[in-house]
Order: sequence, then structure tokens, then C-alpha cells
Amino acid sequence: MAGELAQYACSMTGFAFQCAWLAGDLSVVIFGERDCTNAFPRLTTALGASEEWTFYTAALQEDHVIAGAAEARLEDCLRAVAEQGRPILVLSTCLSEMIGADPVPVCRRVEADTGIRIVPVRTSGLVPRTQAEVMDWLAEVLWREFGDRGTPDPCAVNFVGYQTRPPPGPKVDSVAFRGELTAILRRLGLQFNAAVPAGARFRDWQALPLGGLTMVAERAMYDRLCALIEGPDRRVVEAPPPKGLAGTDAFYEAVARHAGRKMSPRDFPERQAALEALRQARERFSGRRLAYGLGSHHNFEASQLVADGLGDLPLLQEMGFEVVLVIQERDRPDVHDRIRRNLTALGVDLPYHLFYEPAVLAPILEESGAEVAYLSDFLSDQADRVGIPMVRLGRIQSGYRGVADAVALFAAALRGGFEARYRRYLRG
Amino acid sequence: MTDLSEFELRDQDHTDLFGVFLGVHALPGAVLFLHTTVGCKFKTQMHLVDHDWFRESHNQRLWTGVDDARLIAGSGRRLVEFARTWYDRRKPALAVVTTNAAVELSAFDVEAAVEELRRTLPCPVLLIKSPGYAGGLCRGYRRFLEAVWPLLSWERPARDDHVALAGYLFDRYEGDHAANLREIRRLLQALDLRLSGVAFGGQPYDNLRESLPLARTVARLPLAQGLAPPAGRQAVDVDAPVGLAGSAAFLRTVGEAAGVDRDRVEALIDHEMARAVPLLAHVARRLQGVCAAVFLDTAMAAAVTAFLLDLGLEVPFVALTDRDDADEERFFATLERLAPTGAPRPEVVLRGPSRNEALQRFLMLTADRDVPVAVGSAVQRLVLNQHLTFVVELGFPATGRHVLYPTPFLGFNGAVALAQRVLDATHRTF
Repeated sequence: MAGELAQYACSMTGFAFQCAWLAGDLSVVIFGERDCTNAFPRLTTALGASEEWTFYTAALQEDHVIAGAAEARLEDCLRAVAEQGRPILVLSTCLSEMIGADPVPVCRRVEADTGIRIVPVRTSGLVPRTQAEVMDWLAEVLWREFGDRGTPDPCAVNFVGYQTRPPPGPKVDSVAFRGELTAILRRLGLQFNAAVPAGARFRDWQALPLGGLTMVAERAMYDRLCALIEGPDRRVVEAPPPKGLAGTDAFYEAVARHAGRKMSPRDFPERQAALEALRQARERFSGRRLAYGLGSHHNFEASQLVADGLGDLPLLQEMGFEVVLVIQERDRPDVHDRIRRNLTALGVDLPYHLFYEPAVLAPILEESGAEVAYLSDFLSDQADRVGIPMVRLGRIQSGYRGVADAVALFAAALRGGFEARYRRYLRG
Repeated sequence: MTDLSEFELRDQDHTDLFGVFLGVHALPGAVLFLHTTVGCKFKTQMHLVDHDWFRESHNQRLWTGVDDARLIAGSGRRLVEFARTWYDRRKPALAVVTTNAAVELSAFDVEAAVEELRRTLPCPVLLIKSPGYAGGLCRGYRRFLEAVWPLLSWERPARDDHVALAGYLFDRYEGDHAANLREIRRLLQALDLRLSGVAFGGQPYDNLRESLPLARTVARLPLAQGLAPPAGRQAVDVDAPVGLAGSAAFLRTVGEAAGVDRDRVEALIDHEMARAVPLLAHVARRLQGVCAAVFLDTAMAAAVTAFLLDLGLEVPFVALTDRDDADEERFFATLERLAPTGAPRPEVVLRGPSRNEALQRFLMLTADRDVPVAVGSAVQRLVLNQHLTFVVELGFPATGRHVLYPTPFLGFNGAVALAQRVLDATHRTF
């Protein structure tokens, strides 16, 4: 199953994480207690600076539960929210599911009365799911309920599951993967139609059906969405993320080939810088051991979930690192079986160490012999403890530009900055 | 039709769960077992990780792995096994179990499981149920304080010259709280009083249990008011010692309760005023009549508003962000105690508004008035900076403001430091 080596998640939280980027175009109602709205990353997404938070809670109280009035409360909430004129997504929670509160009849009734599209989804944390599963589920809901039903354009290309988040400002545009991708598509005579889920706004999801060609980073991660997309006028092509030189070559070759274009990536000027960066990387990093962390992250970022979290592995290996995996998991025979099965399926034959919780990673890192670590940001205290420089998981970028950026990143980490110079004064 | 604002998100939508989580964070040696469904693990941790750069919160919190199958079968056994395993790994001095509403509705064996843990684990075990429809951050923190309070070693003899502080909201291990507590300790020491413990202040549980009860006098900050002092101790209620008037009032109340000679207290206040006032006068002269807004919980909003008014600023807008606990009457009562007589009172005081409502009302007010500075949290910073109102992050969460250099906001030193920040924000110089 895709994403099995990452943290399992509450599906309501997963919808909330991703919908935070849809603020303004969509109203989201949490059918549960007020506390569940804390699942929205309200300060770290586009939501933080928006003038209006379009997320709401039915704010169920004990009285509503005891009196069987949860649906009535939801109806009050939906009628008030519908006044805002936006389509509404209603997310169930552990509480509403536990008491068997059915949002569907309420949603149908309010939708009929107000003319506002209302879509209930039976999410909750009662059944922990892989993050990938939740992401595919949201994609399916948005496609079915809000996708544009126009005629697909064969020259319009979608990207699903790649690092396509728009850069925060125009200055960064020239170095971001999205900028490189857009430029290369233009040279190929193709249009960038929509990219989901990274940084996708509501219009991206709406426009998705209008793309004639859809590139997907890992089909297993978006199984349900791919099944919906595929049709006589729409093709889905699986192409692993453009990580590393070979990976990026293969990615652009796949795009060109499936779009019926003739062009070799070797013609792209961006490639030369990547080639040179890799040459330098091999000189510096060959044979040096890198600890690659899996199993700790919980952020619903497709690029960190693809290939069971190993999407960045090809680039790290191209750079010459000898990679060892450190996986947050329990040390049990069934867990080892699952890990081995997944790694084998990915064609990965690497040694791995397990750590059962974040607080005990430090000695594992030391034992692994790693000189540098690639870990979730909140594990930095563990790397610090044993004096191993760290690059934050997810920081590696895609495309040719990502190669040079990654080389510079790891060179800086290994060169050691402030912390390396003053390590003896830092707390062990 | 029910008003939309009832369903809108607040600055903080935390209920008791997060307050308990925060309390455990402030008490090293305690471990929290989140006997909840999986989402609670992330939605709590997520809100602290960007606020406290100095200490990872996840190292004191453990999710027991409840899912539908365990709820159906009864999750009590799972809790017992999990807590035992983790006791052996962590050896906590205090174990705290919390549940959410979904677990409460189904897991009828949890209380029995906790009883079993109490019999078998060598440390105290607390059960604090935290359904996501009840309470708030401060209330949850207080419930945790109330649960820990009886566990302290009150049988230890109290000393007349020892004072404890209860209800201190310690939400991170950064230089603001360290400096606040140092400032309070410094002021008490100047009266020959010793701060024996702070509930909570980042002091390890074992240490706090022994040291805090040495206090004869317990100063109760607003969050702890009503907390009963054990036999042989006396409690006094204090406002947050913010600004000159707030700090002076704090010393007078605590000093009198601890039996310090009144003249001595006044001499200390005079001494501190003589140091702080000339510095603050530079600010007061230049910010006279400048408008500021305040977005804080009731107790802090009142104390900060009073200080801003004391400096000569106008505070036309206040949003009391502590949702159900927001209390306009309490706000004005505190303002009466701490603000200068005759200073203009806020024109708009919103009680527990939604984030949208507070923002809309603030923008309406500023349509024809310049409000260059606000005291609030990261929630305001992210949006108000775009409207050229620069925000001093003082409330929770402060994800932009991280405190390396010890900078208090309490006491006389805190008054100078806070005035500095207001000045910097007003001049947009950082």
C-alpha cells in the first residue's frame, strides 16, 4: 500500500491539511467538536494571511450528543454557512461517526433549499489511514464534485504528486521546479494545465479534467484519481518524480514522448549545470554515509510520500552518498516483513535501522555511522545530540535546478556552519 | 437563523486537551498518554512545535494507538499495556492520561485501567478527560494544575519568607518566560522573599513537588484564582504584573501577605520606578495619542491595555481572545485597578469574537484611523501586517517572535522591554 512507511493519519485531519490551501473558494464545515478545527494548519498555509477564514465548525456540545441533536446542529450551521455563497465540504469526525450522525440527509436538504453545492465526506480518525490514501480520497471527492466537465485539451498537461508548489515570490520563481517545468513545457509547445495537490488552489482541482495528458508521480498513490481521469480523451502516465539527473531526464522524456513531441532533454540548457554539479558532488560525497529518515513525517506532502518516502533517493545516490535508512517503527517481525516487502517492491536494497519514537533516534544515528542526515525537521534535536549535520526532509527540490541546489545544500551541511564550528559549546 | 460567527473559527479553538498538553510541556518529568484517536496527536503537537523552538513537545507525549477495533474491544487493556511499556522506557515521575470524546463514549473500561495503573506504576497517575467540546487552553491548563496541586508535598513545613506563584502560563522554554521568572524572583528577593516554586515554570515535577510547598504565601495569577491553598498556607490573588502599575500592585499584594513592612515595599517600588520611568518617559513623550489595538486573553488584555494607557497611547480596540472564558466585566474591573484614572477606555471590546469578526471590526475601525501597532499573537501578525498595523507577538501562539536574549514582559524590567517592542513596532524597525 502506498505511503505505508509514513505516519498514519486521521482522514479528517488529512482533508483539513489539504483544504487549507483552498481557502476562499470553498467553505469547509467540521461536523464535530470545536477542538477538531485545530487540525487546520491555520498559520503555515495560505490561510494565515487570508482576510476570511472559510472554515467552520458545527461545534457539537455534549447536549447535542445526548439529545440526538447533532444533525439539527449541523443543519443550523450549514444554513448559516450557505449564506456565504460558496460550495461546502462537510467533514465528519470521530464524535459524529461514533454517535452515528448521518450528515447526508441534512446536506441534501440544505442544498435543495439554498442551491449551494454541499458535499459530505465520512472522514474521521477512528480508522487510521495512510496519508496517501487520504490524499487520493480528497482528490476523488474534488474531481467528482467540482471538476470542470469541458473537453480535454491534448496539449494541456496535468501534474499529480510532484513538487509543484508555486514559489512564495517572483524572485524565487527562477529557481523553483515549477518555473523550470513551465519553461520546458513551453518549449515543447505544451501548456501547464493544473498541478495537484502541492499548492493547488480550487481552480487547479476544477481544471484537472481539462488536461489531456496527466503525469502522475506514483500511480499507487493516486489510484482512485487515475481511474477517474483515464478515458478516451485523457491519458495518465506514471513518471517518477524528476529527482536527480537521470530521473529528470526520464521525466521530461516521458512528458515529451507521451505528448507526441520530439525533443531530447540533452538539449535543455538547464541540464548542463546539473551535470557539472553532480560531477562535483561525486568528488565530495562518494562513499560518505547518509541517514535517510522515514516514518516520522505527517504533512500530506505528496513529494515526501511518493515511493514510500524514498522519492529523493535517486538524487542522493547519484550524488555519491552511501545511504542507510532510519525508520520510525516498532521492532517486530511483522514490521520487518512489511518494510522488506515494500523496499523490495521499490527495488531498494539498503540497510535500515528502526527507532520506535523520535526521542530515541540519536543513538541509532550514531550506530548507523552516518556523517549527514536527511530527516523530518522536528528530529533536529536528535541529530544535534550526536553532532550529525542535518538537511530537512522535503528540502530537496525537483528538476535540473534541484540537482545543483541539493549539491550546494549537502556541501554546506557537511562543511559545517555555525553549529559545527561551535559544537563543543552546544548541549549534548 | 443561528449567527454565522457561532460556527466560525476563533484565534484559538483549543479546548481542555491542548491546555493539559501545554501543562505537561511546562512540567518536565511528566508524561502524557494521549488515549485518543489519532488526529489528536497531530493537532496538539502542531500548535506547539512552531511556538517553542527550544524544546520539542513530542518527547513528553505518547499516543496510545486507539482505533475503531480497540474501541469496540475495549481500549482499557491497550492503555494498561502501553503505559507499562512506556513507564519502563521513560521512568516518568508523573503519568497523565487524557481521553477525547470519542474514547469517552465507548471506552467504559478506561477508568478501571487507570485504577490498575495507579496500583501498579511506581508514579502517580492522573486521568484528565478532555472531550473536544469543553473548556479552553487556560481551563485545561488550570485543570492540570488542579490535578497536580494535591500531589505536592504539602506536609513539608511552610516558611514565612517563601512565596509560590500559581497559574503562570508557561508555554515555551524561550527567553521570555525565563526572564519573566527571573524578574519576579529578583523583585521578591529585594524584599527578602524567596520564590519557592512556580506552577508551572519549567521546573521538573520532582523538584517542584518538594520546593513549592515551602511557601507560606501562594500568589494566584488570574488563571489560578480560586485554587484552594492547603492548610497552613495563605493565598492572595494578583493580576499579571505587567507595566508599572501592575508590577507595583503585585509587590504590594504579595508583600503585605508575606508580612513585609509596607514602607519597605514602597521603597522598592520607588527604587524600581526611578530606574524605569525615565526610560519609559522617552516612549511616552513620543507615543502620546498613538492608537494601539489589543488581541489577548482577558487577563493579559486588561493588564497590557492598562500599561499602554499608562504610556499615553490610546487603545480604541480590544478583542478578548479566550473564547468562552472571555469576560468583559473582568476586563474592565482589572482596567479600573491598573489603568490611570481618567484615561480613555476602549471604544470596542469584543468578547471571544471569531477571527473573522475581530478582523472585520478592526478593519472597520481603522478605515478612518491610523492604528500602527497591535499587541496580539501570530494570528494577527500574519494578516494585520498587510494592513500596516504591526504586531507585537505576546499571546499564544508567537510563531514569529522567538526569544533568544532574555526579554521579560513582566515586572519593571518587563515594562521597559515591552515598551521597547511597542516602540519598535510603531516605527516598523526591527
